[in-house]
Amino acid sequence: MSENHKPSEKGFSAILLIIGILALIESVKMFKKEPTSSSFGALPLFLSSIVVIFMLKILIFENKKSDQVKKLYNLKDLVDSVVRYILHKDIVMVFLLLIVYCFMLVFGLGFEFSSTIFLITSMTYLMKGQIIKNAIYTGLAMAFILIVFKTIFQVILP
Amino acid sequence: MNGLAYLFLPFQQPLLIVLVAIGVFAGIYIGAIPGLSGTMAVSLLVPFTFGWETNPAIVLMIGIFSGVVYGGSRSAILLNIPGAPAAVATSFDGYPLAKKGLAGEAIGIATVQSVFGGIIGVIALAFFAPVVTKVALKFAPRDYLLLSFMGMMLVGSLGSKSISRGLVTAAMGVLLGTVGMDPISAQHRFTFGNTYLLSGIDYVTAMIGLFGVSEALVQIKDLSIEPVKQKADRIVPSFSSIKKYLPLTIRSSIVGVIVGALPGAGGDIAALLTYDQAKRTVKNPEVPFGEGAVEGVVAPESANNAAIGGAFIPMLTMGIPGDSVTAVMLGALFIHGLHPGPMLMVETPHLFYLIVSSLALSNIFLLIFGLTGIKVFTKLIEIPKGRLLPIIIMLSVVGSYAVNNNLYDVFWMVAFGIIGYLFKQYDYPVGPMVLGIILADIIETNYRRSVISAGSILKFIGGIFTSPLSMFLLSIIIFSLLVQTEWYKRWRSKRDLKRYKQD
Repeated sequence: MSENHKPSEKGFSAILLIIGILALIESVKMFKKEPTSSSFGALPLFLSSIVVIFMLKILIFENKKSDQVKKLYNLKDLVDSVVRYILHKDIVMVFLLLIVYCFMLVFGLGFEFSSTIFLITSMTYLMKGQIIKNAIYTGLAMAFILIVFKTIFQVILP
Repeated sequence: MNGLAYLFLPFQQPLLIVLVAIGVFAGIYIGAIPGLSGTMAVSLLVPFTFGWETNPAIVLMIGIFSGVVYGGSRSAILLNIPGAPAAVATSFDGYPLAKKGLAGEAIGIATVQSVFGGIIGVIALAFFAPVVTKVALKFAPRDYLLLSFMGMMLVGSLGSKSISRGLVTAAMGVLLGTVGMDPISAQHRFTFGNTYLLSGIDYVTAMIGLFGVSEALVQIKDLSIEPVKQKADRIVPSFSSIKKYLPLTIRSSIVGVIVGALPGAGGDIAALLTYDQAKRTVKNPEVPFGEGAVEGVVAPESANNAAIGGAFIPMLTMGIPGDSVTAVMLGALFIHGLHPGPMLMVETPHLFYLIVSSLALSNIFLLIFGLTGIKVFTKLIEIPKGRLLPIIIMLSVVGSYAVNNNLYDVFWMVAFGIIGYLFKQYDYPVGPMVLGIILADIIETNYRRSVISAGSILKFIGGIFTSPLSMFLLSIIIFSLLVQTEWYKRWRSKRDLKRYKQD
């Protein structure tokens, strides 16, 4: 497994283990309220135990670091590699645009306006320019959504 | 005789035929665009068909499913990028054929053999599903519980780095499915005082986030892949070449149906298995495999389409999906108030036969759309991902909102998108998680029912060992766990090495 090790894989596995432990604590609390095998806490208790057991197994046996990763003992290098791997700048940018898009919908700026802005901005960012072509694609996508989903499928848009 | 009458249901409602055609047409293009998977397409479609009647919604999804599996071969042949996982094996010989200027021939033969494979899959579904249903009617609640675990484990183990990762995500999925008010005791579970969580986590929202947004985010990393343009003329294959490859098509389709019917093993596994089988059994291919052998296109293409019919067998008869697309379709059936399982054929036999006839119709449309419009098609699949991915994200937002007309769901969908993205980056499969959320209710109901009827947990466990059916299911679970262990893998590689040395 070591040759396929990803930056901060162990860290991610540790987060999942913590989530499992928190779920297990919550399940124990539920089970204590009705300590029978058919109670509402029985299945969550069993499942969260599975998560904890297998996460421990993954952490111990599957996350052996490769030599290359071991060399990243410098915290700055480690953070850099994780940022490069997980927080790729294009992904972060599109994600931020998506969040802005969601809040535009929450603040009632309207589906047509918000979606058009989201599409043009994200396309222009990902295509590194070509704003006219992106505007045409946005127009076509919006027309498709409004005709097919709103008119034909009668879907209620945000 | 009633069943036969139901088979003609689409002909009494021409709209259903039109929807199958639209689904196949859209599916071919979706499947051909690298990065757009059938699971993503069908999960995005679920909320849009939410308010529809069951029959139109189901036939549209079936059309898309058939189209997507076939469509993947187009980009595998033309661009050397499989549009869908089921088309990975097709690219091994399809792309070399295209490089020789034989892209049209490769697409033509892939289309015809896919249709043959698809029809064999439909025949298998029509004949074997009723038989499996009769067996499934004898299942006790504990057997359903074991079946659900088996399905999740198989979905988790195949295509995942290790079975432990599949089990963890499956267990997390079921845990997420238990969030909300317990239907029996009305106690709150994992709600942390949040009133939104009282009604539980909407699995359509989770599905769209985990399959749609997460996949779009992953794809953003590979924007630089440039498609290689290919010429594609003379697409309709000759009768003699169809006849020549028919025995291989039939053999591969049978394997495809069997593999497709195994919970967790879909068209991708079937295609790779049959490619390997063809490589070993075809004695004198015109050119060696990997260098443009037509047999290398015929075997996986017929198998992956045959696997569609196979995948519906466990889904419709036992409520256990054959692959991730059927898992999403299972969720769609639940939304429409149906309960796939042995009672489906008893209570709503028309739905089963509608699915059979829609699958058969989708193969006819595959032939029509597959052999036409190739020039427009080559242009369309060249749409840059930088323009396509924002549209997918927007559709995910629209889809998650459409479920309950609630913007809160959109934020949950985004959260699931991030979870899915992180899981994919660290090789944790998301399929079992979605399956876990969908099957949580079935698992919990059957677990509690079994324990209550047995009297205690020990008697429930004892019951597994006294029932031959439960023992059989448990054996499969244990076997699939064992074959994933390091100990077994080491033993097998030693054995293979020994055999290799002997040869």
